[in-house]
Amino acid sequence: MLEYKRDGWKAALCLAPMLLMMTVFTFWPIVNSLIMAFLEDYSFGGMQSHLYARVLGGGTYNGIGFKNFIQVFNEADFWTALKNTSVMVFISVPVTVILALAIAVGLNSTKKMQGFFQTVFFLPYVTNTIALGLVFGSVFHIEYGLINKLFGTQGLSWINQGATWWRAMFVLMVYTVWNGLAFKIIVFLSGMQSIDKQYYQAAQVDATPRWRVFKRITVPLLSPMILYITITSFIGAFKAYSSVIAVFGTGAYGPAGNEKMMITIVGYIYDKMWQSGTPYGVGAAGSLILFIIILIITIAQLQVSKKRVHY
Amino acid sequence: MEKASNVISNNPVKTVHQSVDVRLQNLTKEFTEKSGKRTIAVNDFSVVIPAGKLIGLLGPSGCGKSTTLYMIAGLHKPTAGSIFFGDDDVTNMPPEKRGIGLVFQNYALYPHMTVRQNIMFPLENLRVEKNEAAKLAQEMAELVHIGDLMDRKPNQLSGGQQQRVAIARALVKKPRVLLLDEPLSNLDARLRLQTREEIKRIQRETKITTIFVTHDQEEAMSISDEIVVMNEGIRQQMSHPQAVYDEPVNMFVAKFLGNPPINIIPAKISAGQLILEDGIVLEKGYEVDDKDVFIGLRPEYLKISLNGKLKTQIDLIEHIGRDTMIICKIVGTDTSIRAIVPSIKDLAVDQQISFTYTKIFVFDKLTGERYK
Repeated sequence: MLEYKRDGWKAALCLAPMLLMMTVFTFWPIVNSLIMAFLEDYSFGGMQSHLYARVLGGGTYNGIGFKNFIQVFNEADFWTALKNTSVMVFISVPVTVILALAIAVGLNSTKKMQGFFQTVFFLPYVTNTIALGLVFGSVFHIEYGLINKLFGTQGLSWINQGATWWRAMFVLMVYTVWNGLAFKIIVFLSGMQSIDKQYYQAAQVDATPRWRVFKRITVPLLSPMILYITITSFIGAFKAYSSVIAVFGTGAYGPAGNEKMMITIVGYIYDKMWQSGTPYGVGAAGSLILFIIILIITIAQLQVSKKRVHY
Repeated sequence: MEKASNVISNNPVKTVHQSVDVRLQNLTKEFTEKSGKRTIAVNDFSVVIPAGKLIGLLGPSGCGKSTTLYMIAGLHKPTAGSIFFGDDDVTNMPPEKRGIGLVFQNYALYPHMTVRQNIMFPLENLRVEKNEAAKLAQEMAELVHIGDLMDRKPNQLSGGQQQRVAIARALVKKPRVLLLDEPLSNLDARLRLQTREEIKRIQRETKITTIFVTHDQEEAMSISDEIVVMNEGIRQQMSHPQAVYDEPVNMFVAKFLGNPPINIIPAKISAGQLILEDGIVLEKGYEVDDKDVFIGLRPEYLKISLNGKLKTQIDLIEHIGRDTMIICKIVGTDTSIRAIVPSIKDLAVDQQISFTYTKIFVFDKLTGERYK
């Protein structure tokens, strides 16, 4: 063991490039935005530099406090974004996980064509997000969309001008589920295939009905993967941004005429960072709020999982 | 729901099972690989396993014994032949309807359930009422001596304890037949000895017809009421363990049983005489055509004697406590033989000694069939 310990510098050398990149592109920006969130009316550059702003590379501010947060909470856009994001998270994630589990079970129990179906279900994963968005955009198009043609509902706006919030949300939800399904199916399927077949044979000898086999054997033995998928999906869904851009194709967060209808928290933060006249601190405060929301949800999940996940 | 629990509560606290005999008739299993290559794992296998007995299915690995067990369990479907439990034809019955308890080689205990939950699991499927199920599980656990480990998880148990849990889980639903796949192979030597006695005891107490599979002759011989020796999917011999050892039907069985293994000496029968390679006539009066044969001599059948016909030169002497094992070469041949004789001190390497024998087997060189 000691011999290896002396090789510590070798390990450090191997890790150095990655650590350097992480510092520049991850840790430092996190520290920056943390500081920025509490600097009131911070503005970058200029001739003079205030004390804490020097850490950020210079600039001026009018004080330290919660002004940025207060502004965030006072903006209607933020609350719209929070509502939209929450609805997406709490509906699309459970739906995706359950659907992925069901499809994985199905795939796992078919011997024939398994490889074929595996490829089919994995296709969305290798498809580009924007391309997928374009497909959705055309499928749900008001005039020549497949959906409207199929159901004879020409003129019903899903994502075009005049779309209601629920219809737009529905399309967004279908898109999110579809986009996230492939990876989850593959993870669940590989997890199921690594479960010892003898558990199932033992269950069969004991005349265990299929549903109970699933509930009492498959799910508990798969629980570490279900937890992993659930947590990463929640985090991913809270960070929703490109899906909205991709589906509406207007370059904004909603159909023409209502560009902010489907704004998400990340969308809101992005806007604040680039909006002229808005201090940088507001966007930083927004991202800190998002971070805290994700942190709370993840801790809650880990707590709940302690009793239900079997390693 | 009531029906099932009534049936069970009507004969309470009895671990005695209804015993049935198990009959396998011309059982054949053929596996077809993807390449189209066919392998006959079990070939026209017929055997009657008497009710309430402990039977060891013995053979080298790949001989089809596990396949046979899984066919009895219903997890493999036979290509041909039939399986009867008593008068019940179970050949096409799914495993869950057969009323079997199966203990897997690696036990297949559900890792996320406690011992109690594991044992109660089969009862859950029979819709036994919860308190009743807990009681039955406790009884089973007591039977296999793990009553105090009920709240542990399988990974907190030793191999031997896991084995017992697996047996309790298999027995709790009162199956007609108990099947064990290589029950001792995952245990260390000491536990193995202990557990095999335990299996014997549990089987005696429950009187359940039990079939277990093993490649370990000692294991099979020590606990089985009868053993079935298999090779290449074909039944070789079935009898009481000692009877199989004393009177093997062919050279395979003779060689497979016995530790240290039997001595095999090339010889020929010519004009009714059994002649060794060095020309010595060992015995007379064989009423078979002239042919090449193998002589089978168990190490303990050999006795040192001044006028013995087997003349040998000692290569190696091993003192193994009570006995002495001598490895020696038959003079004038390359054949080495092993003899176990009562402990003697005045022997030396390269010394020439002669043996007589108390018993001899003679096998056909080509078919392995036994003449004597």
